Amino acid sequence: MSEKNKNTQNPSSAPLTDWAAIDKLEAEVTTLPKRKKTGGMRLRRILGNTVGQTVLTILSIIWVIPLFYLLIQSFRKEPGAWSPTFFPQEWTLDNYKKLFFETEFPRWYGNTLLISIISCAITTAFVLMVSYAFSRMKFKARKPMMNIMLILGMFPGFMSMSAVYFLLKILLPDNYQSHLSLIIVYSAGAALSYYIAKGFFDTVPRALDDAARIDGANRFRTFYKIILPLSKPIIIYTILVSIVAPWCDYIFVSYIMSGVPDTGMYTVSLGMYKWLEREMIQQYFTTFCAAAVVVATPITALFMWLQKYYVQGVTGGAVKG
Amino acid sequence: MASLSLKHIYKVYDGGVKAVNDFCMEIEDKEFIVFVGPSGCGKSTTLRMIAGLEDITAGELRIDNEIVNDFEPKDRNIAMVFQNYALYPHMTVYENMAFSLKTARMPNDVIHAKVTEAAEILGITEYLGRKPKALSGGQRQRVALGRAIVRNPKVFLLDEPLSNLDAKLRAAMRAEISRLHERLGTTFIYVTHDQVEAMTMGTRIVVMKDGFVQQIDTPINLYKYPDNIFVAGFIGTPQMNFFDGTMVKQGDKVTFRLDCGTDITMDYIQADKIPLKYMDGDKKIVFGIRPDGVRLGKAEDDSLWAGAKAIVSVVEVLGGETLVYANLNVNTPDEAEGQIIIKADPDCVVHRGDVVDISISKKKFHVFDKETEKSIRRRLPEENIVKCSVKGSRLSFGGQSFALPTAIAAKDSDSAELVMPVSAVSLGKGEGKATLQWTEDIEGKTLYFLKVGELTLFAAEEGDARFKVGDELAFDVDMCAIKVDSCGIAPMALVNTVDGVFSKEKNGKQYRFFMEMAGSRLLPDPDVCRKLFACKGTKIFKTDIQYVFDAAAVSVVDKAVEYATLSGTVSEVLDYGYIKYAKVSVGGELITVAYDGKAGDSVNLRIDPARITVKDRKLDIIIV
Repeated sequence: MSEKNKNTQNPSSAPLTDWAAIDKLEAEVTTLPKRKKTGGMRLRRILGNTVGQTVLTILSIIWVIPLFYLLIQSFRKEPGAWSPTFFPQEWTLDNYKKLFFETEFPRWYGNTLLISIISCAITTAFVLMVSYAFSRMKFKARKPMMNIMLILGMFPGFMSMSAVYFLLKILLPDNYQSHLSLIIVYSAGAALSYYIAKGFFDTVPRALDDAARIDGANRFRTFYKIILPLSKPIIIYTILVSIVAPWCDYIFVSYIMSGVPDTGMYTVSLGMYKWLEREMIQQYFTTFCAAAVVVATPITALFMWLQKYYVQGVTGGAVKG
Repeated sequence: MASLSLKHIYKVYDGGVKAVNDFCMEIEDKEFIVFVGPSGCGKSTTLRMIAGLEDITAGELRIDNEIVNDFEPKDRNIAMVFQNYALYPHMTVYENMAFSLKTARMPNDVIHAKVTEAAEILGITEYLGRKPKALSGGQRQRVALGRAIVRNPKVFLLDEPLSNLDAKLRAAMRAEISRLHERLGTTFIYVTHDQVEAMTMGTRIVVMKDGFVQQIDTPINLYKYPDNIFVAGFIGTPQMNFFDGTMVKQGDKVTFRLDCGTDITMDYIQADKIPLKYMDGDKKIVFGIRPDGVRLGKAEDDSLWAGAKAIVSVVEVLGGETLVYANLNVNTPDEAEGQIIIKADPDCVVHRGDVVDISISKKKFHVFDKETEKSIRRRLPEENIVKCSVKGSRLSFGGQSFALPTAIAAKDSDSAELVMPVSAVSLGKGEGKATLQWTEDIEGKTLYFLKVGELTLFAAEEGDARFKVGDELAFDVDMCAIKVDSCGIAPMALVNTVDGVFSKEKNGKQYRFFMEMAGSRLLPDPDVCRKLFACKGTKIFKTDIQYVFDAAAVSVVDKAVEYATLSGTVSEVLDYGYIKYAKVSVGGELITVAYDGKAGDSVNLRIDPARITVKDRKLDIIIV
């Protein structure tokens, strides 16, 4: 203790700096008095919140009704597409039993899962790398490329459908009606949706890249070790978006796969759509509802699990707070 | 542990904006250099170019004698501390500090030892497991310093490291960084916009403005001998007082007539470094005096202090000193013209509206040219500017007369202005006679004050004084360098400027490079070649180039050698008495060379390839 005192009194001769004193000094100068809230302000806020919450609740009920209807219909015992009552008269799990043991649904489900996961992995990697390059690197074609990609991305994807079909025929002459084709279709154009991720990377301070460069990291290491760990929200966003697209896609699947003789190659959307055809719907409607629930469950779970990252701040502590 | 050399460094952005212009500096080992200037002056850009984060458009950067222009930052052996700390937020303090070492694949125990040692120095051992988010600003800054220390760099680069901290903490950290510099014994380069930081920390300071270096000197020299109005105003708080005005010389006295109505009269000797041409009562000057060069009270010693009156407008009592804001024009206390800040004794009693006596130092003042804003009372004057007359090819000034060489065909004039560089006056021999008034030792150089008639002439030499005060000296004037505008005498242009390109030619499997100028091709110096590629890459072949070289780099040789000499004819010979220069016409260009012959001769010229400066003609920047 006496040693410490000596240091404080005569800092120039001290062997080591008294950093504790400096920390104390900083704590003193940076503590600000707390602001008090007035009563009127509080009342107004409570009122505003109540109105807002009520409107939102009504809206969400309206929004949830169709989904709820789908869910309860999947437990309906009476057959047929149309039911005179909102709630089923008799409840059953038969629809699910039928779905898993009497149809090709499990195979379709597996196909969809496989295609979605593989193309999601490729898409995410593409999008993140392209976005990072556009955000950080300076090259001549950067601006024109960004503009062209943005404009291309504005056209609906299915406009290119027939061209894609023939390209696939050239690329995979023996095998163009396959899952590989679908994976290629879903991931090849991934980079077009670079702009949200680029917008995110633009907010990550460039000084971090500079610091990593000084520390000897190359571009890839900087991206992998510094930028990616800071980009959880955007990675998760990209994963979610890119898994949902192939999971729910109907147009491309129907165009590429509908001629396949083996209906077991179908994805869920294509297979389930067949159940809604006129000659099938009476027999399969409740099964369809059950399938819809099974299809929606993992995506919903994924969203619910990962939504907290949407709002999580990232750059806390990187720069002056 | 390292010296740095920056030669003609430029940064030009797409679109031609020059962020940094012709930055030249030699930094020695263990120096603490501070770049200071207002925002946007190019100081951070220069630092980032040294770090390797920005490309160098032109020029040469050496660290420890190695050209590092195209080195990656990691290969330059530097470390940098950023203004906003740039800590990796997802890593702990330990991981932050270890990142560079891990990237370099060092063994874990070495990393641990280095990180622990650095943490000890900076007092952050207890925070090693925390994330940056959980630290205060000052602690984060120390982690950033620690991250730099562990790499054991040759050069420490700090980019405004303290500007995010509170003022009190900043003062404490300032001292700590200075101490760290001593402890590590490394070269530091520190960027700041705060002149107090610059003055207290730097061994030398670089003052920058608008991409140009204004002055490079030690803190005390910057304070005492600012080169121009900007440096004078930027360094020192409170700011220097400036007054517009004119100067007039009457006999032995010089009077500064300030526009606010105050006259300051002193002996000519006290202002003898100011060229006479400014003392005509007409040419606009700016008189500068620091607040500590002014006192409250009547002038006690007339030879050192000039008396004046001022009206007080504001009094700031700071405890240790009192700043008195006053106006020399007692009728208009609130007008900008005539405002003066006085650093007064803390016990003085003055009030707003008081008319007080003040005294202005006759030693500590500064004088600037109003137009060029440059100091005209320089410590080491560059030019002698005196009145002269030219008659019948003789030049006279101060009662001395010199024969003009035949090369100079001058018009006669009775009162003309002679401009000669101080370096053009040589002592010891020659036609002129002068008395040595006194000498001044200025950082290894000797400045001689010569009395020539009623004029004072300056001469400068390297090293100690060779002559005694009071001696009668002979002196000579280099007629190549003099300028008398009204008589049509211009200094001999001893610098050759020739337009050309840089080209390559495939010779077998290898390329050969050429400097093409005046219709001929010359082989470049390999060193120049290497520097060109380091600065410009292959763009050099598409660049319009200007080759610049001294007349002294050119010699006349007997035989023509392919790719080494230029052939031409002498179009004119200029005889300066002790030396003759020939203007040689080569492929439409005129090249000046020292040559003892006659017009019409055919000669072969050899240009020393190592002494050729290569300039980018379009951007007007020196590449090497």
